[in-house]
This record gives sequence, structure tokens and C-alpha cells, in this order.
Amino acid sequence: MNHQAHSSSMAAPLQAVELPIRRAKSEWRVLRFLKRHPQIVAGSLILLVVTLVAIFAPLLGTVDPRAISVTKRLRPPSAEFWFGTDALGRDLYSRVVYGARISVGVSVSCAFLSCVGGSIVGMVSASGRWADSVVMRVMDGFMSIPSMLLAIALMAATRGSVGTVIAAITVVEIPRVARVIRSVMLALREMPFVEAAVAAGSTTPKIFVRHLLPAVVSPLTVQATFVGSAAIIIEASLSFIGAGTPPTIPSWGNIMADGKALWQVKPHLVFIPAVFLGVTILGVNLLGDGLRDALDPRMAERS
Amino acid sequence: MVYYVFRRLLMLPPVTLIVAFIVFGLLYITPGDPAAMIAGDQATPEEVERIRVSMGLDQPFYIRFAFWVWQLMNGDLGTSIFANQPVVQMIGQRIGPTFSLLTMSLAISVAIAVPVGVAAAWQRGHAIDRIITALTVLAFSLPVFVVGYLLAFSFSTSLHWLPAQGYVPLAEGFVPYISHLILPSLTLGVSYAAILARTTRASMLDVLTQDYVRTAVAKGAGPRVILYKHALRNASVPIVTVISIGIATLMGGSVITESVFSIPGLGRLTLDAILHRDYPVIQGVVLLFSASYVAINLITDLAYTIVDPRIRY
Amino acid sequence: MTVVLEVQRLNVSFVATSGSVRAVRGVSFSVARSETLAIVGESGSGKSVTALSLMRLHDAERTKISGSVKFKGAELLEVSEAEMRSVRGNEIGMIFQEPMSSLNPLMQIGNQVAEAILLHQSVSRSEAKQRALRLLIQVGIADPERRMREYPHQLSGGMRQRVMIAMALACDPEILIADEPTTALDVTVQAQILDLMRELKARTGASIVIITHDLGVVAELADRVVIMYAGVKMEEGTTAEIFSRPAHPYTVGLLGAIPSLDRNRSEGPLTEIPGQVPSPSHARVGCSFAARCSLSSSICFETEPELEDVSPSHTAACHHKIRTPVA
Repeated sequence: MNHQAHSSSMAAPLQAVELPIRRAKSEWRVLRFLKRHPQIVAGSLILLVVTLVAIFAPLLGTVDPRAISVTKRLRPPSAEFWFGTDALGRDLYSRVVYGARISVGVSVSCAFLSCVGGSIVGMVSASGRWADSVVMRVMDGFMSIPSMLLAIALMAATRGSVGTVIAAITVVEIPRVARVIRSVMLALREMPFVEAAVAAGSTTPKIFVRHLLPAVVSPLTVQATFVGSAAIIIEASLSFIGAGTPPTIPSWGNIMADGKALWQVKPHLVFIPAVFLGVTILGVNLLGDGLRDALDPRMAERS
Repeated sequence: MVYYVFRRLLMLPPVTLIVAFIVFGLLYITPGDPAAMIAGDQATPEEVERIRVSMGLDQPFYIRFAFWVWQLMNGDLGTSIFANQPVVQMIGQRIGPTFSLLTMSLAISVAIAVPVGVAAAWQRGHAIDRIITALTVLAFSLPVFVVGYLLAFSFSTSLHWLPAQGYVPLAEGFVPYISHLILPSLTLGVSYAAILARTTRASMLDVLTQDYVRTAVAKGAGPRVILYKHALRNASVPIVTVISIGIATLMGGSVITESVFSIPGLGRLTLDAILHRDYPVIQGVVLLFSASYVAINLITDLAYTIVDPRIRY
Repeated sequence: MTVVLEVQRLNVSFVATSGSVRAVRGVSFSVARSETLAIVGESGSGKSVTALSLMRLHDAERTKISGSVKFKGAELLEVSEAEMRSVRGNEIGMIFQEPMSSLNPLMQIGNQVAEAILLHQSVSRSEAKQRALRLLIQVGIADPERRMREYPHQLSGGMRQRVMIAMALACDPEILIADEPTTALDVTVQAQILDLMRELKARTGASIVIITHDLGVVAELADRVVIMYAGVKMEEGTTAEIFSRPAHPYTVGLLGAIPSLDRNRSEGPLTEIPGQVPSPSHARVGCSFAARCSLSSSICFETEPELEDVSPSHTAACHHKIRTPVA
């Protein structure tokens, strides 16, 4: 034992001390990781709360958000109506709580669909020079149209529904995801390990799944958060100008649109959903920022 | 160099064509009769037919598209279904306020964001940097209309410093023109400025680690010389890129902003068109914005060659 | 012999999230007027860190420097940042290893050289440009008028280094610090740059502190040599003494590793020093070189050797100094 210590100090730098229990070490690692990235924690917490609100909306002391009551219009916040009522006598609290469903639902759907769609497009684009120039030209075309305007045009050309909103936002966001996936794919194609796999006789789909897909996961996750954030903003904006979620379904943008006419005298109609919107989007952005910092070693060192 | 400009100009038509195709083709993505779609559920068969003829929807797709492109090249954006006016004319009437709004937002945002980003980069890790970073995340998380109401409520409704509605053309006085544009421009620019400040900070941080900055320090240069004379110039390519690409955000946001502040511009035109399902107007506005955006990006591409003498393609 | 720069017990540590790293440990040396001092060592020896510390070019947030750096009577480690700026580029000039990345790629050469003048002397822009032109001629750049308007990427590596030298000498400094100035250059260009440095030194009387791992450069240019290893000064002496009567086993190893056309095969393979430089983040006991030294004994692992005189101008830190009889 003694001899061991002596020779190790002679021949090499001090060895790291081995912790006796492996499990404790990995738990510590996770905690340390979270401590170094408070944004991920904060963002996830916010999103968790909002998602729970969305899922358990009926159980949170709400009434039917569409129930109109002509006699109880424009009431201020009270014991009966926690956030007051809107111009049609509807309970604002219930509308706002149910509105979370739209924001969460649209955000998650669009993030998922545009990641899938964008990955397919990106991979197709990276698969051959001819495919690349065609696909990229078309993507360039899409990206030349300001996203909000493209969304508006799409909504104007179709019948308005939540599904249409999701589809419109997905179309708007796919080009960006596709571009990222494409550049990852192109970079990977050049890498020696791909050549090695080909030389070893691996088939194309196998190369795909085992080598290329894992490299795509982290940029895709970051892009998913960007899309999620943009989706909430676009849906709310569309609903606000009357081109988004149909007015029968409560969405935070809708609610603000309803309150638009009277906002100077009854500002709470506009500001309460605005706060919910802001906090939720902030949550997604914090999570996205945190993930990006965590997954990009260069950025992490910088901050 | 001239060759490069020429080559880039050559790329303009294909992209614009694709844009036109997309905008034009949107009408046809849903199954069913586009005319009925536009006419709405309450329309009578005569109204549907009228729309179909006025938009030429009775002809095959490719003929329609070719004709439409031909019209475009002659400066004709079609006729509004609802107002029965040439779209170009309607746009011409409303473009002034929107242009003022966009230009002012751009100017204010760049003027604020770049120095803020430089300051954050120089003071990396310190209080100023942390505050700026936190503020940018917040600013970036608020949709345009939320910011709009916040600003309008604070500065107009509560403090009565600035008007919250309407637009005054420049011809009727400089001060009213500006005072009506301040809140909308700030609203529109906040989110854009946040991204710009972040990009500036990141790009500056990149540059500040470079060897030539160390050389400048070794020559005895002080912070201002280093930051603005050496670093910023070298950091500007990504910054200019983001300025250019972000203009799309400004364009999209202008529609919303005009709604919040009741500005009679193209945004309002678009919103009315949405209400009345006036598709030619929407097409026209979207096409105009897109073409402008493509042109702006092209100019930026060319501007790179001035900023960085190494870029000669 | 007047001393222009006196460094005493210089310690430089870098603060990282995982702890601090001591890159330079208690190094002392001095530079006399018109003298060329070479600081020699392999990668990781702390020689570049030492050079950057002289003008406080390290990131103040992450670096802890202690000790003393006296320049013309002033303690450089304690003067204000503003005062330091008036010294940098003015009384002490510095050139770096990579001339391509050390020049601003977006600024014309003429402006960069002129800047070196304008930062410290109140002359007009045109006057500064005139002087810049003369400097370019002095450092041997052909067709200087054209080069003034060009950008760094349009010049060759050797020319860029000449421009760096011109910038560093623009205000007639007392000391020129050169951090591996020839490492990134072709061999033929290296010789030209060394000739230029020698010539300029003769003309201006400036002192030179040259950091290098190349003993050939040392032989060409240096009056005295400091040998560093793992952040510690191991030996110091005149060039003649170091090359002909090295006292420290490490120096002997370095000299033995120089390939030469005169060697014949019977002399055996080039000396290799087995092992690796110890990491700067770990604590040390005894001599830093002991683990790799063929002469080491138990005292070497227990007590760090002090610098002791081998001759009036020659010191070494070793318990087993090699004494070569003077021929």
C-alpha cells in the first residue's frame, strides 16, 4: 500500500480518488448539472405547471368556459369569478385555464410535427446533389416569406380550426428545422466513421439509425424548443387578429382579442391572458436556452 | 466582383418565382372549390360563381399561374373581391404608415441593441451582462401585442405621455408624426432588438478572444478603440446577417402592431382582407413583403463584400 | 550594465472552476540594456505565460499574478491600467507567434502600423502614415506604398511578421518581447527575420526578450539564456556557458536532442527525455524534473533545489549539477 503511494507520486500525477459508492456519484452529477444550468430547471418547472394546468383544467375550479351569461357581463374579479367576466359574461378564469390547453397542445404538436417533417426534408435534401438544390430552393422560397404572413395566408386559404393552425405553423417552421438537419447530415457524411461503416458493409438504413440519428438528437431538441416557442407566439398572434383558433374555443390570443375593444377601461381582460402567455413562452425559451448551453460545449464555457 | 453581383441577381427570379408559386398555390391546398372557400359558408351560388370568374378560377391551374405571373410582371396584383379596386392601388394608399413604422423600428432597434450587446460582451459575467441577458430573454418571450399593450398602458393610459392610437403623416408635422410612431416602433422592435443584442454579444465574445485583439492591447489600445475599431468591425458579419433576416420578423409583426395601435397601414389592410376573405389582397400584400425581403437580403449579401474584403466569392 | 527589466519571484496562476493552476512558479531574471535574453523551454514550461505577464496581457479576471516586475524603476504589476497602457506599445513592444491571426484581417496594413504611432504620439494622421511607411521600409518590406493599402491576407507569412515587428518598434521601445516569432515561419524566412531583429537591435539599442523552444534561434540571437521547465527556472547563464558547459541535466537533455548535420551515426540516436511534463494543476514535492531525470536521487524527490551559482554569471537549480571542467 505504502509502496504504491510512493511510486505513484514519483511516476505520475496524483490519481483521482475513487468514490466507494458508484450510485452516489451519478446522483451528484445530475444535481451538479442542474445547478450549473438553472435555466433548464426554471423553464421545465414553468412548463410543468402550465401543462398540469392544461391537463387538469376541469378539476381546477372552472366552469364551462363557453357559458354565456348576459346578466353577468364585465364583472371585476370576485369570489364567484376569480378573474372576472368578459363582454359576454363568460368566466375569465375558466377561459384562461382552458386556454392553456390550446397553447400547450399547439406548441407540442407543432414541435413534434415540424421536427419529424423537418428531419425528413433535411435528410432528403442531404441525400443527393440534385435533391439538395431542388429542396433547398423550395425551402429558400418558404423562408423568404415572413412567417407570420405565411401563416396568415395559409389560414386565409383554409377553414379555420385548431388543426389548421397547427398545420400552418408546422409548414412555417419546417424549413428552419430542415436546414439544421441538412447541415448536420452533410457534415456527418464527410466524417470518417461513416466511411468506416460503409466499408464494413453496413447497409444504408443501419448507418442511418445507428450512426447518423444520434448526432441529430441534440440539435433537434434545441430546434424543437425554438419551434415550440414560436408556435405559441404565432398561434396567439393569429388568434389575436382573428385568423387563428376559432372564437368558440378559448385560447389566450382569442381572449385578448375579445378584450381588445375595452382594454382601456377593463385592462384585466387583456393583461391576465397576456401574463399567462408571457410566462409560458418564457418557460419554453429558458428551457431552450438552457439546453443549448448545455449541449454546446463552446457556449457553455463562454457563459 | 461585378460577376458576383450579376450571379446573385440571377438567383433573384427563381426564388421570387417559387415564392409566387407558394403564395399562389396556397389557395389550392385544401380539397374542394377555392371559390366556395373564399365565398364562405353563407354565400349564394351566384356569389360563388362571381368569385370564381373574377379570380379566373374556372381555368386550369397552370394557365392561371402563368397568367398571374404575367400580370405580376406588369405590376398588376389583381383586384380586390370585396372593394373591387386594383390591389396595387389599395396597397399604394396604405404603404406609407407601414413603411414609416418598419423603418423607425429598424433604426431604433439597431441603435439600442448593438451598443447593449457590445457592453454585455465587454462586461461578460458581471452584473450588467447578467441583467442584459435576463432582459433579452424576457423581451424575446413576449409576443408583439403583449408588449404593445404593456407599453400603451404604461405610457399612454397611465402616464399620458404618448398617444396610443393612430398615425399622423409626416406632411402634417414632424412632432406628431414621431410621437405617434414611438410606441408602435418600440413595440415592434423589442423582440427584434433582443435577438440582435444577443447576437451582437455572442459575436463580440467570439472576436474578443482572437489574437489580433491581444495585439491591439499590446499596442496600448484602450477599451473603446478595441471594442469599436477592432472588434465590432470583425464581429459585424453575423450581426448584419441577423439584422437582415430579422426584418422578416418586423414585417410579420407590423400586422399585429398596426392592429394594437390602430395604424391605417398594410397590416390593417390585411386584417380587413382576412375578415372578408379577400384573398387577392392577402396574396398581394404577402407577395409585396416577400419580394422586398428577398431584395433586402440580396443587398445585405452584397454589403458583406464591403464589410469584409476577404469575401469575394 | 544598466538593468531595464527586473523580474523577481514571479508567480502566475490561472483560476478555473475546478481550482487554480500555477503556471509560473517563482521565476526571477533581469534584462540589461541592449541585451538579448532568451527564455527557453518546451511546451508547458510557462515561458509564454511569463512573457505575457510582463505587460499584464492576461485576462485579469482569471489570472493571479504576484511577485515583482520592475521596469525603469516602476513596479508594473501595481501601476494603474491607464499607466500600463502608456507603457504597452510605447516603451515595451511585443510580437507574437502567429502573424496571420495577430493582425486585424479587416484593417489595412498602413492603418494598423499607423495606429501603433497614433496611440501614443500626438501627430497628425498623415504624419503617422509617413512614419509607418518608413517603418515598413526599415523592416525590409518591398514596394511599401502598395503594401500599406493591402490587407493581411494579401501578404506572405514573413512579410506579416515584419509588419508586426514594425508595429512593435514604432515608438522606439526600450524592450522588444518576441514570443516564438519564428515558429510559424518557413526555415528560410526564419533566418531572414532573425537577421532583421539583430540588425534592428544594433540600430536602436533596444533589449530583446525572446521566447523560444528552438535552441538554434538561441544560438543565433541570444546573449543570455534562461531555461524553464514546468513553470520553474532551472538554469540561467550566458549563451556560451549554456551551450558548452550546461549544468542542469534538463539542459543537457535539450542540447542532446538537437539534430545536427555533423553528427555521425555512431554517436547513437538523439537523446530523448523520457516521461512528460508534470501537469501544472498538481501539487509538487521536490524537483519538478526529478521524475524524468537520469541523475535523480531521493533528495531530488524531497527538497526543491535552489538556484546556486556555478559561475558568477551562471546559476542552476539542481542537487546534482554537472560540472564540466573549463577547457
